[in-house]
Amino acid sequence: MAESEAEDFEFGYRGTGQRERLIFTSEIGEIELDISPSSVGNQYVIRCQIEPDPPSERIAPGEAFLVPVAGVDHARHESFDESGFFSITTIAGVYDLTIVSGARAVRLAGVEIG
Amino acid sequence: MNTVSDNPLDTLRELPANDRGPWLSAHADETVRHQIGQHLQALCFSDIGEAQSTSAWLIDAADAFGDQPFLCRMLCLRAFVLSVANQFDDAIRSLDRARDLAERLGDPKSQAGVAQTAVQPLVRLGRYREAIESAERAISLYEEAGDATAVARAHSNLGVVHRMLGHAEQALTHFDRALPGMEGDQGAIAQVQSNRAEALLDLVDFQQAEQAFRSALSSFQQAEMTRASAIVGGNLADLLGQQGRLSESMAFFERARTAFEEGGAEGDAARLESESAEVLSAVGLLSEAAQAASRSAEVLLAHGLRREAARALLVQGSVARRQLDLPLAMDSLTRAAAISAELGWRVGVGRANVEAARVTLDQGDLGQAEQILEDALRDLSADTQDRANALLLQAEVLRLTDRLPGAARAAFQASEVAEKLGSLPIRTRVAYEQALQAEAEGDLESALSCLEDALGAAERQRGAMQSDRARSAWTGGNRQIYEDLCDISLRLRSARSVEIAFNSVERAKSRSLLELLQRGTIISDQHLASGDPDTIELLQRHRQTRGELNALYSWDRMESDTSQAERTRLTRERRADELEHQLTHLEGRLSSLKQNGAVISEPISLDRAVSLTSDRSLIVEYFECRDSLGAFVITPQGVTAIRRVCDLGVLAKAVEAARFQIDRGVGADHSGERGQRLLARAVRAFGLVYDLMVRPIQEALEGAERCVFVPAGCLHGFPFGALHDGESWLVERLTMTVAPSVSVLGAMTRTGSPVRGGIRVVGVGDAQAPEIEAEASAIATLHGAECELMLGSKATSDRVFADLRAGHTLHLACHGELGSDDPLSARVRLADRWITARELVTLDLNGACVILSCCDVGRGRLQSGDELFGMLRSILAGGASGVVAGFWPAHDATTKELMLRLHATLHADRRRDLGQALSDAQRGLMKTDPHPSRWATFSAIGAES
Repeated sequence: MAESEAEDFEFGYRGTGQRERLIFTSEIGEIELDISPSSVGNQYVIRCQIEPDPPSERIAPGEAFLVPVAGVDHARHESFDESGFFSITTIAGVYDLTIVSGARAVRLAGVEIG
Repeated sequence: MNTVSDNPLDTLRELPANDRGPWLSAHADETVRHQIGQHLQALCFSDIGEAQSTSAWLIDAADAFGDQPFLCRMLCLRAFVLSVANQFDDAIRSLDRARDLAERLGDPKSQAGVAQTAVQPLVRLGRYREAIESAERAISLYEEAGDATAVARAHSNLGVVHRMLGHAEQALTHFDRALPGMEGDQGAIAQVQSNRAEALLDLVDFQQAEQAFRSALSSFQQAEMTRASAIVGGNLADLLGQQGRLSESMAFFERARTAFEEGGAEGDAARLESESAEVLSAVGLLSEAAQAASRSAEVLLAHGLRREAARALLVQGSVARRQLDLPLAMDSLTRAAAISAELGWRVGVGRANVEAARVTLDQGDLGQAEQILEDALRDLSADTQDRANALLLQAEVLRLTDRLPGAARAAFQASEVAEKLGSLPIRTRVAYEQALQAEAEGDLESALSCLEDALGAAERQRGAMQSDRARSAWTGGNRQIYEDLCDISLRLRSARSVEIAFNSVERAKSRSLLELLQRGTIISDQHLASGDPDTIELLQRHRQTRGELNALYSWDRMESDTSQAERTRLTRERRADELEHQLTHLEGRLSSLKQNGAVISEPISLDRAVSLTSDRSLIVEYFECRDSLGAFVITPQGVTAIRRVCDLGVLAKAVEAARFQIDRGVGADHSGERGQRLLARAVRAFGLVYDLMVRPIQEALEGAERCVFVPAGCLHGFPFGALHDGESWLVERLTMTVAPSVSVLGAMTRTGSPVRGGIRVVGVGDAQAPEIEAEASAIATLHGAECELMLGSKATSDRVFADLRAGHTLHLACHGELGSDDPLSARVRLADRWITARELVTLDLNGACVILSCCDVGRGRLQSGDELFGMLRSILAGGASGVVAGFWPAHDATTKELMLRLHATLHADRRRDLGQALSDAQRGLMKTDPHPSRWATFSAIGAES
């Protein structure tokens, strides 16, 4: 399983923005995560796209689970449809992200939020 | 050998009891006696036990000394000490003895001293009539003795007693009489002014009260009484906050808080911060309120200020609930209730329980909410605003559990309390609850009528607020009234349905931006610093009147059901009527002054909205209506309302997914298999949004060449051009612009004059974005002689501001950033510095067209009141006739290509129609790179030329 670096827009863009984007390759395909502060309180929005690989294979509707590793008591889960997009709002912490799609489950350890 | 130290009390205390009388005899001068009095009074506040014992042996010593006037004085001092120790009966007994002695002596000054000292214990014993008689006697005796300073102090004392009895006018008379006798004693003057201010508040004279507080503050500062200054500063801040004068209020809170902190009084500083949190919460500025409440609660607890801490926790809980952080809300409220219970503060327990019931209701546990409310109502037995809140919540719970007769009774009881208190906010909520009850009974006509009452009351409160952000936040806090009125009127399908619904939607959407545009409610320092004296005076009176009215409408000081409360209510109602009348008159006069434009911001009428369309151009306005997205389709033939276009929750998810696809595309490689996949995802995501929000109204769009979209909620900043019908992007068949509301669109159309002025092109690039200056140069070449180019170091902020004010079409190619969390910190970089949204909001743009060829700055923060705050709003508020801005990071090379295409159209058709130009550019660009993250990240805001 590989993970990409956070991406910045320093060069070639008319701003100095930066965003936290993580790409994992997993047994069910590519999983792209984007983490940004929520407009409500001290919360964060995690947006995710699951890409089937090969692309012809459809993702079965399923659930994504965020389970805190330590320090917080705030497990969350959200369903996604066959387009493979979901977003979850949660508080800062280190989580295990588990994606259950059809009969398959993929656990991505240690997603740090905040 | 015995010597007299600086503190004769210390000397006396060291002596054997039998030697104290002779010592006093040997030092029988006024200086020593005065020092004894001063030190004993000081001792009261440092060690009351020691003060009591000292005062007892002083009387023994005075008896032994045999000086009757001195004994009389010591008896008075003893009474003072006992009063401070809350032993009022003993104090009165000591004074009885002093009075007999003074009368035997026939000395008016001693008699006056006795009468003056008796006032406080008599008041505390509830013997008010005797207290007043005693204070009046002190005045008369001091006058007889010719002691002007003491007369002044006695008047001040009597004023305080009258105020406690609710005789604010009499209190004021005595405070006014006290002031001349206190000349030179700044501390005493300040104290009287502070008391005057409180009495003036009782008389609902906010203007004079503010002046008195300011005068007290100045006098305390001259007397270098830092703590007292900070207390009065806090009171002044509270008064200004009630009037919605947020920035002034926060400045005073901050100054007072700093003074306390510098004086080491962290607890007092935290108390002030907690009060500021209450003000911020009341106007709906939740993030700021949450921070202030959270900080202050912990400090107050650490300093043992438990009642104040409970209040701060109440604010924290209430704000957390409104921010949907229910666990934090419940935790704060539970702590507030526990502390209040320990203190025996029943109102605190009741308030915490009302908020906890709301949290429980939000969690869907109606049974638990009902039980908590029953407890709360037992604690909130007096007819106060808190009780009315509890009754209204009880009505809601009963309504939601289909017990409508009970709900009606609870609402009626709340309305009785509202009438008794004269509280407009409670009346508003009662009318709203009654509307929902009528709706539950299927009586939509009555529901509509109640909602119109609620909206009328809500609008009166809103109109009285001074601050732009406060008004916007307030609208958001009451949005349910506006939404429900829209929903019910559309369900009624009467002849007026669409008109009522449209009016309601427009009142709740980007309304404070409309007011900025119309210069209706911005009474800035700029206005006050320039112009003719008559206008300035009118503006100042207008600001003061609105502030007073706002404070009246948000009045929540009363907690008791007393005759004074009734008198204050009547005074307040009379004053409110008077101020409403004055405000109407002032607004009429201001409206007639050309430079101020219309002062009252009324939304656009349906007829006028229709006049903004043409055979080829229509307007689609979306609105949030309870759980649904609705739409008005406005054409030359009229307005069609669609109450339910789609479910809001489903739409929000789909919009988020579509935005994410643009985020993914920005910075990604669009070539190869991955590029194809990204594009397919974007088409699918934008197709889903199209199906939800456009397909249901697709028929109405047939034949149109052009559309102005007015977004709502999650649609603000959405790239409408990228909506996909399965075959093509929407921009391929429609030229489009966006407007914050139809009223704003109307105001832009009226104020804008798009072909005036020249074209100014600014390019400030660097190595990171090397195409910026090339873009600027190419655009300038395209427009030729009519264009002025400012590159690099020439593009200073002064020159750009001048061009903006001149109403030119200004193309700004540079870096842009969103800055901090504050949307007004969004900025663009010029040669000499960054200019921010905060600076632009006060600039008169005089119909300029502005093209922001930079990253992100179109984005803002969606705040309650359905308004997107940020750079874009600031430019629109300044009176721009059209804006192009980006909502995502702008790719340097692609942006150059887009902007060159845009200017090619502008140059060709000469109308400077930004919507047409941008749509053409997007159609061209998508041919080479079809992913919407390349071509759809900019939007045009405004009407067609």
